[in-house]
Amino acid sequence: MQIPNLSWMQTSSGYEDMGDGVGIPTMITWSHDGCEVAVEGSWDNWKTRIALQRSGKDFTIMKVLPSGVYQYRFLVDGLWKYAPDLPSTQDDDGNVYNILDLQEYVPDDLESISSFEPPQSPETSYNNLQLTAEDFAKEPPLVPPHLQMTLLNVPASYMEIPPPLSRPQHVVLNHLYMQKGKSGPSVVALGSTHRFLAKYVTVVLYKSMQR
Amino acid sequence: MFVLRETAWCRMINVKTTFREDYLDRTFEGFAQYSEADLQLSRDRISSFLSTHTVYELLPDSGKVTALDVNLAVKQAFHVLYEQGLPMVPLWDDFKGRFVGVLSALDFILILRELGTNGSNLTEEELETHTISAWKVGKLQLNLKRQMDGNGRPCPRPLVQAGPYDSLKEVALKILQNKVATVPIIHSTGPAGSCQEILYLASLSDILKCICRHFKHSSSSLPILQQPVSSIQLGTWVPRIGEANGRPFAMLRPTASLGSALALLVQADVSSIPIVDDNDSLLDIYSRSDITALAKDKAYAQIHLDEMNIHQALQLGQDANPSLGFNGQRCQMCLRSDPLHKVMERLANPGVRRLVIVEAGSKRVEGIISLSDVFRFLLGV
Repeated sequence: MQIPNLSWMQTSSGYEDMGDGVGIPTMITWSHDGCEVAVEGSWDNWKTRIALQRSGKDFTIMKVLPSGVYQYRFLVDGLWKYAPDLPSTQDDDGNVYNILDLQEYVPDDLESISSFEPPQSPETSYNNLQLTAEDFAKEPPLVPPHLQMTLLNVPASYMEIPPPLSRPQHVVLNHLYMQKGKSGPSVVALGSTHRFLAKYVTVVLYKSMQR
Repeated sequence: MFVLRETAWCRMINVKTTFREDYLDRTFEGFAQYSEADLQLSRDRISSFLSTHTVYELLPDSGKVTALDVNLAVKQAFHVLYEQGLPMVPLWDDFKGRFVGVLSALDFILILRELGTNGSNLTEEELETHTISAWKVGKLQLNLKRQMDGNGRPCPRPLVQAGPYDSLKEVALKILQNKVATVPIIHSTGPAGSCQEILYLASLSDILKCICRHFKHSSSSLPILQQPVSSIQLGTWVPRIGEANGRPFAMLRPTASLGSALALLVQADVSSIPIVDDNDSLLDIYSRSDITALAKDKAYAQIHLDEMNIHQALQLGQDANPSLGFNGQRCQMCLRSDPLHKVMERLANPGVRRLVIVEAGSKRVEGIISLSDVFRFLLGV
């Protein structure tokens, strides 16, 4: 009997390393005194020394690196130094290095979110009378268009590793969305996006409509 | 040894149980090439790193979690898993107001085997009304990993979960000790933690990715990472002739029946089986999560587990996701000479839970390294 040819295995790149990832631009700054400042880092295993450029009182250089954690230090006028105002670490021999933790995204500034004051409700009278036939005869109020920007409408990706979701607009947070019947006749999907500290989570719950 | 129905194309490597001392030295090559001090230093550093970082770091900037109500019918649950491409999903109980368990590929494998068994209480029509909670109760009756309460009655396993402020070390140990693949991350607030908010489904590959990210550019601080995997005791290896080994190594031909593959997954308690040709060269791999491909066009309704073979079952999945086969993600391989850091970087990719160790050139299967193997080694458990 012939063994069927499972051709998708032949083109596998099992021996190659995965790429390092997209480069992210980042600034390295030395804001203490000095005449000539250079930097060396673990991004290339401490092989090259790059001179920083002076701009006003600071020395800076722009680097493009893949996401990761790097160590670096400065050569200031011939002496090895680390920036005391930046995160740093010490190795076994007592040398101190600065640490760069380069993320793929810029995290939300929690301070600016937490102090957000929602606007006051408009001045008018509020009651909770039951809706009458007259109310049902009218057109329903339109859904505000910015609520269409929910992440729930992002089409399902069929890749094994789906691309990361984009950060949701704050306006769609804490709204409940419903979808009926797509996953089966009596199944309803409830979805909502919430913030947890500086991260965003979209939760979808599938429920049965029968009791 | 595992008792398995013999079919023409199913082959397990039988192991002689007589113990022969002169073969012991050859089990792991170059055994003494690294020092205990190197190993301990690496373990201490990793342990310290994992203890000082929390689960919150694993959460993506913008993530999505799918959950199912326990009163959803099993058939619909199966379809949701398939449509969303999910290997497992947490279960929400409205009445209790909390998450009570997870539904995984293993549940479907067991359900399918129940359907196929004569004299079973479960029929295909009943799948439409049989709820997940009823299945979970029925599952306790099966002779599987059940815990007894004080009166000798089987009691359901409590949900293995973690919180966003737990340390990575706690979560890794929880995953290893409970032998799960994924842990729901739940933030509990309110009186007695009664209000639950699900944030993420964390797995060992997320934690490994975090480790690799931090230590990639300071690899000298973890000397053990330079060692080839054959010299450290990592993974499950195909025993060589005459060797004594505790665990037989399961492999199957592509013409083996799906029923035998599922039986092997359950009885050998492994999450995947390499599919090999007559020379033991690697062709593909069949994992527990591949079972959800059967939801396509309700294939599970028409199949008899013994009449469909593995190649056909994998073809179903391939048709649904043509991109999967060609990016090499399905079956990641490595060589016995590859250093540990290379193996770790490969396993840190999401969706890769194991690497098959193959011989260069011939692709003969030599062993498997899984995520839990790596973590047991790094944590020294």
